[in-house]
Amino acid sequence: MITLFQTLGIEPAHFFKAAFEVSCISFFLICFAHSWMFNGSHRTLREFSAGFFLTFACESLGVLSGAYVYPGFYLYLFVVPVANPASWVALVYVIIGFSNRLVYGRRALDANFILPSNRLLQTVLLMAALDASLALGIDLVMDPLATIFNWWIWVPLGEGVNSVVTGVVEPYNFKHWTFLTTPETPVYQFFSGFFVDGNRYPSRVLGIPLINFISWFVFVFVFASQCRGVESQRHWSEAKKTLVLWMVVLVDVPVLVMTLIPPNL
Amino acid sequence: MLKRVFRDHLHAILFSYFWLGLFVGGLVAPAERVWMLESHLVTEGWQLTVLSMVLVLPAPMIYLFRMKYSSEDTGREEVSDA
Repeated sequence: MITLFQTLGIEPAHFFKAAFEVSCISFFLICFAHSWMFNGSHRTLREFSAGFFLTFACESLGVLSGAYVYPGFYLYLFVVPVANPASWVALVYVIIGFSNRLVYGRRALDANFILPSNRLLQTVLLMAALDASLALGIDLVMDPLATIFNWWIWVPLGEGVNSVVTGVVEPYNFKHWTFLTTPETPVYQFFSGFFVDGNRYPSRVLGIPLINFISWFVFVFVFASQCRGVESQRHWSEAKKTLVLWMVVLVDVPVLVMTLIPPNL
Repeated sequence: MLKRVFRDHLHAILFSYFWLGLFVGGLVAPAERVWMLESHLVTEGWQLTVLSMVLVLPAPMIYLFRMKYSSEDTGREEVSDA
């Protein structure tokens, strides 16, 4: 297949990088339009804006921590490609609808479908766990592919390496360079005690830091459970649902970041 | 018809599209890039393709089954006479 690409004069790596960004943004637009048409404007704006903000803020802090970079995209919001939070929130939207249909069958095809009110908390948590498991299944394959195709890069261990440096990270298909270092803060001092040898993310699965998969699961679980919880409140007004979801997301960002994204030292 | 498919099954279509991307991505992954993972489990791209078939593909398969055998009104499974 690689030969076929090369026969057509297309470099597979470049093709997949550009195709990845276009696909992610198209994916977001399709899901946003779908939600707008069938769930209404209030719910769509609420869920997509909250999810976008949550993942954008956490990804930004992930990059600032020095853990990874997103090279070679075209559209950026600060240091994070627009495609990243856009596709994350779209993926959560897809997975929530998909798992509703997996569990509740054709009943979930109704646009006004909400979870049964009996044992609501238990149902919300179980459904969110299913959402997160489906997302984890995707990520277990997607993250190794991301490293292979340079969609994002885990900054490797090296003395004084907190950024992408030629020779340390091969500039495979770089178009933009991101240079960020871990700030010299009390947080830096605190974590440096745990990494006296500078061993960065020693636990890996399929070549990817284990913490990535744990974080992915937790992020999807938290956001999906909050979305599901809010949308299941039959008697809340749209304004109240929006306010509550945004309030919990604003709490999520510092809590999740402090828990799951330690600085790379 | 198309609008109904778009409305009812877009989630499943996009989920399956995601799987297709992973499936093809594994097949075209350059060997020298796969080695960068330094993983003992994944040493060639096609192994990621197989992994996608194990971890992701079963969900759309179950979805097809659910849509075929669940009732729209009650959600209860339809019982075949056979």
